[in-house]
Amino acid sequence: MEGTTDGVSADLPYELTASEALRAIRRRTLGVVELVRAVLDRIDAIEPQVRAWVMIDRAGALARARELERQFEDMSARPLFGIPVGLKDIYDAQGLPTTAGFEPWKGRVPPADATTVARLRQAGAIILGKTVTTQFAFADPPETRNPWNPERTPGGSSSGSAAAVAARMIPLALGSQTAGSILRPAAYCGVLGLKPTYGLVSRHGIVPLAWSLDHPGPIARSVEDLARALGVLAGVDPCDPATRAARVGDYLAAVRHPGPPPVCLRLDDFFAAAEPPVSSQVSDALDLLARHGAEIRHARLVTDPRLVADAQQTIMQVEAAELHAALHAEMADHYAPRMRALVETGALVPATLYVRARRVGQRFRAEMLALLTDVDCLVLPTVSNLAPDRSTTGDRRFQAPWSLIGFPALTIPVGLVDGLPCGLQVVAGPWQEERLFRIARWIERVLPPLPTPRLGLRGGSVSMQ
Amino acid sequence: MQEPSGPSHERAARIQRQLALLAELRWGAERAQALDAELAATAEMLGRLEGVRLAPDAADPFLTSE
Repeated sequence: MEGTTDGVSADLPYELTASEALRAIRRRTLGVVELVRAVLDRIDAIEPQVRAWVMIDRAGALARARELERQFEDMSARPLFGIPVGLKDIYDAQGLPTTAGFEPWKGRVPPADATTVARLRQAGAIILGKTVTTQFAFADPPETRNPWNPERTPGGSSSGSAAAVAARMIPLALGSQTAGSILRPAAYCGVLGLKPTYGLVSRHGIVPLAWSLDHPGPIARSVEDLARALGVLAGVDPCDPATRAARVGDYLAAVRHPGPPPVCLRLDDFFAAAEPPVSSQVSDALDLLARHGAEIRHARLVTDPRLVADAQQTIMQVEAAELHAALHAEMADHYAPRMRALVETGALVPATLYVRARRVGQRFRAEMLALLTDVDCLVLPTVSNLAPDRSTTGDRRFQAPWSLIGFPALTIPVGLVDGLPCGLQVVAGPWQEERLFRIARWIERVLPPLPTPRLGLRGGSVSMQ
Repeated sequence: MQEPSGPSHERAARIQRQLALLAELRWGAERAQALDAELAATAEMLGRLEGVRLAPDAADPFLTSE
């Protein structure tokens, strides 16, 4: 096996990012079957420690890999040719069960793919299996471990997707975010995640939690992989009316031309509210970016961030209560405790306060649009804390504001504190994913990469230089 | 937009009583009791939202989104 031009040895194909693997496949230094087998072997070796998967479609993935190797001439038009992908277990994939972590749905096999899954297949991706989600993508702790420390949560609700990507079981996975369920697990696990603009990626065929807040999105180990995945996933879908105004960009071109150092607006309220080690690590990262030419400006919010989190939580509670009314009436005893409480309290919230929450969200949105007028992006810690113990999925207050207003947000690792990863969150205006990718790629080039987590061992620390 | 104002703990206490009553009617006494901590947290949150004073706006962006 040869090394790749990306400077990564292909002796361990599971270590490759999706884009690196794609280039190796294109050069014929890596076979599609070889890649799938390497990923499956990696899963066999470490899954008992991580518990990231609900099911693996071993036979289906290998059959698809062999089929793709016979279609090699088609690969140039397929941006994910031969790339294994994990799906959070709320995405429908024809022939595979979608359980959403709900025991009565264990045998529930959908007749068709979600729009996103169909697009992945069309792009040449191989659906490897389903990753662990918290029940109905809410907040009951999952069985999945954080690859950096098995006593800590990987975050949720896209727990298995983030842990599997971090542990090199898969280069790319799909998650979803209603409050903070893509960005938080990605940050806790030391990988990258993107929550796109609301309405850019179809939700058709994905188990919903709250209609006006649900965002599908990718988790990966490079900015290029996020851009590559979004290019496949984004676009109008007649089956999801929220996508009718979707504005799709050329995301891979944005990554290839990162542009000048960005002007970043540091949201000081979130740094003040974060735990000191997190605030310090993310501040150090911004200092490093500044030394490389980024301009870091400061802002304080007019709207109380706590109120913004309240608005998001209220909307989520009420919409989840309505979504689950019929199922809960029949099967309440099968609900996990936090999910059941969400539905049961959400049904009691006065309608006027739901409307109030929506109005608060609109005003916060206007405030953020005004802040973005003179800068390229907003920056803040992705999460207030390091991954806590496994009794919780962590703190969603720093991610929820962007789910509330639908702005795109991306998390990128900025180092380790006490062996646990820390993330920088970058937020842009609606439909500004190209800009977000240009900025993130510039940041990725400046910051030192995280090492692979040493499973079963405590990680070290990565300092900013 | 004005920030939360007024005696927020009084608002939260009143809302919690309302929610507890509704919970008992909707889910029964046993479940209402089991939800006690969640109802308290929800009441605090709703109390803060209720305390917000938004300027009247004939073209509120939420209500004219279509």
